[in-house]
Amino acid sequence: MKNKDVIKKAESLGVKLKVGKTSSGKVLFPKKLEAANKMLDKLRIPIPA
Amino acid sequence: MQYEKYENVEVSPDFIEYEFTSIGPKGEIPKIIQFNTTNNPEIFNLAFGNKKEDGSLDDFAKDDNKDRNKILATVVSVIDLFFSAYPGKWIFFSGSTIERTRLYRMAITINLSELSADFQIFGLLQDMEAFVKVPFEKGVDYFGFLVRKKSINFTE
Repeated sequence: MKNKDVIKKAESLGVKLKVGKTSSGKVLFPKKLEAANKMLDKLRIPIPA
Repeated sequence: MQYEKYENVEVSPDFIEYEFTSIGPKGEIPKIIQFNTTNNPEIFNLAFGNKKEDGSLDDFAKDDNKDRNKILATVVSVIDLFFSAYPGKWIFFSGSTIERTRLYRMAITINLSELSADFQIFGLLQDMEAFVKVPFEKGVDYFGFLVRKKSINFTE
């Protein structure tokens, strides 16, 4: 169902989406994620998890 | 965004990784976008850059491939697709350098009215040791950005 919804959305955006790319299965830029977490962890009013 | 975009985008089955190819005077440059869960499961970090031969991401690259707006429009479309797969989630992003964060801010500013129709956009400002999330305003330098898809209310 998720596939259908996203492909439909892609069509509406004019994007030819090809599903099935091999995922790297890892965080490709860990330093960037670390920096994001440092900032987000210090949010004065956290976004409810 | 009304800019031309790259039409051919490949995505992993979990809708976490996206790839497309920048085409310009400097040749064909593979681009990759990856969304990673942060410490808060409601927020995904958006990482974007060139895909190197070993599959790693280089988000410091300056390609000068004369297609900046086309790339930004493609990234916006990918964000929209991500929200279709992960409704209700937030995306956080910031530039790899202050200059690049400023570039993102300028891109949002230029397209703010159009982007605001679909997305809630916040900027992060530092306040002492903490960060505060404030609605995006033109002319303000932010440390990063938080975006969420606006929910559509079908009730009349």
